[in-house]
Amino acid sequence: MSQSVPVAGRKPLAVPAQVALAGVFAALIAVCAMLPPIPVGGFGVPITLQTFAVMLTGLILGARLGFLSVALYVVVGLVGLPVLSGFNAGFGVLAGPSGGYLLAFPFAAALTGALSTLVLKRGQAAAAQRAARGADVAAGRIGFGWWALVWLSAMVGSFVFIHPMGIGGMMLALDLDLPTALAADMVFWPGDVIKNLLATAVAATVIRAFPALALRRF
Amino acid sequence: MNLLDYRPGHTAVHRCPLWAKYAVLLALSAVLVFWRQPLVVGVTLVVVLALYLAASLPREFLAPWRRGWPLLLFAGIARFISGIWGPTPAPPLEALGPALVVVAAVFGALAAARLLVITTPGTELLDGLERFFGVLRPVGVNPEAAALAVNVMIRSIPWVGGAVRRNAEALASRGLRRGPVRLMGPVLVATVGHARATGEALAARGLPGDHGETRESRPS
Repeated sequence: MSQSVPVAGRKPLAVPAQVALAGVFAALIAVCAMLPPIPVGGFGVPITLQTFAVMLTGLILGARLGFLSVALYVVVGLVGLPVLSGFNAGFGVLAGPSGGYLLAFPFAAALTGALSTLVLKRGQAAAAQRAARGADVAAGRIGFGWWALVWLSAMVGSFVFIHPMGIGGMMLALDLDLPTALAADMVFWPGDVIKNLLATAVAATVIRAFPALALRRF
Repeated sequence: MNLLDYRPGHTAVHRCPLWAKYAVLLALSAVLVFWRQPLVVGVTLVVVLALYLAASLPREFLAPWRRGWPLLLFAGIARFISGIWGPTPAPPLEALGPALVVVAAVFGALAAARLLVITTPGTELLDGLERFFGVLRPVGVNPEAAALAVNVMIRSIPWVGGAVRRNAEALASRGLRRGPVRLMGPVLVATVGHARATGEALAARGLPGDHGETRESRPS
């Protein structure tokens, strides 16, 4: 099904719709943080879904709403509602090893959202052009290369914010030196690559169901 | 929905106003993070234990250890390794001390935060959060919209959890393994739909109320 792309007359999203999207996606992150780890791949290595949900929120909601939604989740967790992973609640977690990671989440979602918005808009335009030429079987769908760029924007979000702030948090809270903190952080790198691949795959599923999401029309 | 660990009671700790609880928690956490002398950490831990006793919840004091021991163990091991191989290498026995202090400090901060959570009803926490949003109005936060978003979030958690469970059952009944994409893809499609429906429901009720300055004035 080809999607016609209206260019002019885009209204800003109404406040109730923004509130609902931010709240529901914050709930999604909370549920993913509480789910038991899910086995992935041939060996069934279990992964937790919290960062997956954070990146997915950025990929689907874009920079501004993604930031607000993840910030909502973090604030509600720090105030003391039990939505953080590992059954911890309240801002005592900031004094623990995961504090820096938690504070980085909103910024990572914002950067990932901004980059992926750029990628998805161009990808959608390219797909619409191809569909107009009537060239393809999968007309109107965003091509594989664009999804690789979407994955890359999630990786940029991870490595610009989540890992540096996580390392900083561990150096402060656990009184570590940089090499040890870096080594402790590198344990998460392979899982991070996989989680961002999964987030991109799920984002592709959702955008296939709602193509307008690629243009941040909700 | 019982999302909270609230342990009811009528002690001084329970009746203390919320801002005072946060102030004490902030002070204790700051001491535990920035003042890592063994004696200071020890005294702070005793203070936290005394607060648990004052709340007559002594059995809860060790709950952060029971629930979060992998995290604390990780903290201790990381600090230990840093002590042996770090910029000023020390023999293992000397590195053990700072590692134990770090574990004690992280444990103390978790225990103090948990005491606040279990002695305060969830509704009071949410009221406090709403007041906090009001303070943030000058930086561009719309307090009504933010408070409403919190409520949408809390009410949506059981919905999203239910969507995950339904989809997991659907996968199991088809004999499929629940890989993350198979599990979360349909959940996300349903979640976007749920968010749209929620947004329409809010708009139909004229929410969030326009007694704050909303970003766009919409007659609805």
